[in-house]
Amino acid sequence: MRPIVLTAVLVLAPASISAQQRIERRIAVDAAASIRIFNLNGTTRVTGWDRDSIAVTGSVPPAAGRFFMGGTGPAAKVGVFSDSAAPAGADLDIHVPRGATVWIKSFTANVEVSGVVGDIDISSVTGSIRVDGAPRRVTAEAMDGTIDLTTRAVYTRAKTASGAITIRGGGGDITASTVSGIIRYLGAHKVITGRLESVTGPVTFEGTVMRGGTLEVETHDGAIDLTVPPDQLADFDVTTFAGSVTNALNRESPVVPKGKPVRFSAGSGGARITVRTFKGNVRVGPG
Amino acid sequence: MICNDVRERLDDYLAGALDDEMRLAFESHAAACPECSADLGAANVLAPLTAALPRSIEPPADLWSGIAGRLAPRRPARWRMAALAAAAAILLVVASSAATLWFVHSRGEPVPIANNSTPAIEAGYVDASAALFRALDSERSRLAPATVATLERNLAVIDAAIAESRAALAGDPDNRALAAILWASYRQKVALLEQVTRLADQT
Repeated sequence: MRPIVLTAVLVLAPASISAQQRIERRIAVDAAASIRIFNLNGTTRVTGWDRDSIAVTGSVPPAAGRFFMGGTGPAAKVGVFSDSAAPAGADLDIHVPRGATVWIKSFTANVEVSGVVGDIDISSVTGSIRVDGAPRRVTAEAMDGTIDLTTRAVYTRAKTASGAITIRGGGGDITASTVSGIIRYLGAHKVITGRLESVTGPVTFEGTVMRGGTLEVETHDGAIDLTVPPDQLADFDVTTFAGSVTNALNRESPVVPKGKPVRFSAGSGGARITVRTFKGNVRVGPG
Repeated sequence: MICNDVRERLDDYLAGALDDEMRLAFESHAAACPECSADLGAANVLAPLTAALPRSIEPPADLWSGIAGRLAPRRPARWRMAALAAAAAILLVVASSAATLWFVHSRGEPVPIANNSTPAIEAGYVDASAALFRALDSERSRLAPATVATLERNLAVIDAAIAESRAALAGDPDNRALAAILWASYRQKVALLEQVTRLADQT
């Protein structure tokens, strides 16, 4: 039996390798085209470039489904389509015009986007999402997958059930929400409107809230760590019912009894920062 | 001035806090640099919109009839129907409670913080969750077992948080911050159900 199996493997293996569909396709689109990308399993890498065209390279095994690319001018669709409930993974490397609006749908596929300055909208289930560059707006949603955004976006939405969310650099309007994942906001730009919320996951905020802006951080039992610049002007409203508050910003009340709201101001006419947690510990301190 | 200088000073520029020399340097760089110009354009659009957002929104008297009117003829996807119905249920309850609070407060009377409105707001969230559960049940077979497991694990986390907050609020019904934490957990539950129902619909 064994030689027969070995022979079968040797005969069939090259056939299955050669059956991998190699993709190398290109179409012309507008510089600000709207591009929809589907690749449920495998990897999807999207890179913005200074050409008015979409170029795709990659490999699509037969069990992954059928590769499709179509559209011209203002809209295009690229992806691997399958009727199978569990298609094999395809690897796609896609170049799009830098100013395109990009919409990406994934299931387990890991998604990476860089160099796009238009809007980006990515949905995944367990695949990770990573965005770099200066998109105008970013929306990323996953269940278990992690979300890692290193951008200069002025509008960011990130949501998971249990995947970790890390946002570096983005400012303006920020919302990050998770049930049991962690949230880390490490902002290089000022937040105008920010909301970070989790149920059990810890939340870390290191950044600046713009004068007149608002930041709300809310958890049930996730710890909250808030680091703002020493010169941050803000009215703080911090409440934890069963956790502790460590206030390293205001020397008058460095440690606050449990269950008591803490209100203090740094300067006047600044931002409004609200922190609420049921039993998470809160630390507020200068960066 | 280089791009990093512009990015660091963007908020101060929008707030009019730069001196003339710095403002001129900022504007001349932004005029010559496409990326900084795009950043500035986006921030210029966003800042006034954010500043103009109302602190509270008065619900129109015909809120539900307006939503219902839009639901019927367009026959949206099942999850969208459920999500809209869920949103409407929450909006109606929260808006009417907020309106009551505003009315009482504007008359200079003591504001009933949480105890009067809590059952109604909670009923809104419970109705919303139920509508989404119904939509999800009919699509559940389309979801991968791992997705269902993640959903159930996280729903258990949220339900435990809700139970804990509810118990605390029952002992301190006027505590507005406690109520806010409870509503936040309910919002998470509705948002998670919406997310998974949408996934099922797209699969």
